[in-house]
Amino acid sequence: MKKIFPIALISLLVAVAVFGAGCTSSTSGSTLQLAGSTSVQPDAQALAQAYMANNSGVTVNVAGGGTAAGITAVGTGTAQIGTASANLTASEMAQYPNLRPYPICVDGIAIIVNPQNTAVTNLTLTQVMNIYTGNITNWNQVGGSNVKINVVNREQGSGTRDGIQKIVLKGGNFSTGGITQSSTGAVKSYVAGDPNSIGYIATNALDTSVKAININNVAPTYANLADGTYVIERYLLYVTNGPPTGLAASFLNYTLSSAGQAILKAQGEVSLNDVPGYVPPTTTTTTTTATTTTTATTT
Amino acid sequence: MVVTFNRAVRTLRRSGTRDAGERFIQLILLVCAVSSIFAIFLIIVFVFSQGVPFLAEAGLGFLTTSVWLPADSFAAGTWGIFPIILGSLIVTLGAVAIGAPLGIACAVFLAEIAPPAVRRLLVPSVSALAGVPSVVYGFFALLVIVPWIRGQFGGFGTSILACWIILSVMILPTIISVSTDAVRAVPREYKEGSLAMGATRWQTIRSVLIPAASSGIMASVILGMGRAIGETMAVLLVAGNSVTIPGSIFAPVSTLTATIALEMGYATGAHQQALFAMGVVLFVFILILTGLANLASRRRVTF
Repeated sequence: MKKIFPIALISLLVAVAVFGAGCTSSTSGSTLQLAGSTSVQPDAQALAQAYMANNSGVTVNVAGGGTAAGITAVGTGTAQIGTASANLTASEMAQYPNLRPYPICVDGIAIIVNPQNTAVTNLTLTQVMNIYTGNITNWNQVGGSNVKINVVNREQGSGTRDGIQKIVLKGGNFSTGGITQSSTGAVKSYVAGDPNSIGYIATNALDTSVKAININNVAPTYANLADGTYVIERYLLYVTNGPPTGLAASFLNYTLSSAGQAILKAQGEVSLNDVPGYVPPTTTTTTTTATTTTTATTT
Repeated sequence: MVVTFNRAVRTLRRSGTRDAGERFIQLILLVCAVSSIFAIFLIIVFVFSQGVPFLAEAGLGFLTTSVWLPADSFAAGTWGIFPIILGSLIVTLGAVAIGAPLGIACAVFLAEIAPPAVRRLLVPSVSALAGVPSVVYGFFALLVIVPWIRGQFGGFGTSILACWIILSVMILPTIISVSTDAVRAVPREYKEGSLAMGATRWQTIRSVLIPAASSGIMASVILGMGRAIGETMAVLLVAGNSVTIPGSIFAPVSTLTATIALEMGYATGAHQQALFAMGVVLFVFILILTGLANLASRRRVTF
């Protein structure tokens, strides 16, 4: 009987501590919270590490959750920066009218097939569209062998799926004939195991387990992504609620600086500095950064 | 023993402070008990408050139409979850159809036939089966069962069949443990009477033990069914998650739980409400199952 007292007290204390910590830990002044697209997450994590190494006492947390979750997080103030691999939707802008998107780099989406599929090395954008809308269902319709195409999709809401829908399907709907995998890794491992499959992943996730298809005879190489000849590409974004201030502004400046862009390049993204016609913002003060980068968002 | 206990109680009662301590402990235990009920109550209220307005707006079409194109706003999306409901039912019923006979046979073996040495090996193995995390089941199925199905039958491999195989294994521990208890609980006299009248061991099992334990066995099957319909992670990995009415057992399928898990991270606005509405549908299914389980376990077989 005597032993129950301390146990009960300890469990109460633990409960209070856990709830209390949950409420207070994120309000510290030297912590920057990022949340959003899983495509941006590894990039942002690499940037955060370098940034924290340069600025002692600062903590940068990078959470995933998806583009939509990132927008909600920044809109509601849970995060200071939301990360996105898709442009803001009309309803998101209606809900949080002060959101500002800042492009941080260019990210390509590769169309991938199994390495055993040696017959098909190139598809036109229209062919890819027809495969994903269900108008082309057999590999022999695009120069391959006479087998059914196993179409692999990402889930509703994925930034990569959204990119394919906008760029390849021109806003049309995916056929329901394919299967849905819940992450880039899952798509890659499925395609690596099924010789008749086709899928799509971010170009920085490419490796030898899958084969990237040329689109309109253009391979998804760095140079082709930078000059825009490889057409399945989009900007990755930071999103802030109103002009960024304090740590958020500083982190955005760092991301857009040559050091930050070099990190993004090492992560397999296309540096904005390598995009022809891109004018790097002048990073003198935080406020000018906010205004100059806004102009770049219209692309 | 009893005397010592009574004396202890008397000693406790004599002291006023101990009495207060006792009441304090009782209060804490009450708070713990209430908080668990409060948690389920909160979940029900939250899921229904999010899902029911959407159900009201979408109407019956939400349950009966087949095109699922969610969007942030109600008007922009097309909301039909019939293939998903159908997928959940097919996957669950099939898994039970495979898992229940296996599990019941295993339970009868454990309760009646197995020598103690075999039982000592089997019972912990079944418990171990229950302890494997579902994501491990799913990952195993994705790497072993899915490629095998793809190689044998063509198609994607991620399919109804893959779900059946992995789910039937996952519900085995539930069915085996509850059924074993049910068979063990059959009065010894039934079995002895049957054997005394010249029935063979198999005849006794088939005609006396299983009918006498049938209410418990039914309850075990329905509990297994509840586990199958609620399973998310393993199904998510091997189902293929295609929102379409499957044409064969080798076709991909999507279930309520997997769809909620798959899309929850991104869903906003009407899409999120639609997922909660799916949760309401799932909740109603599970309520029905729990009700059936209660009915089944109350039924008695008389001879």
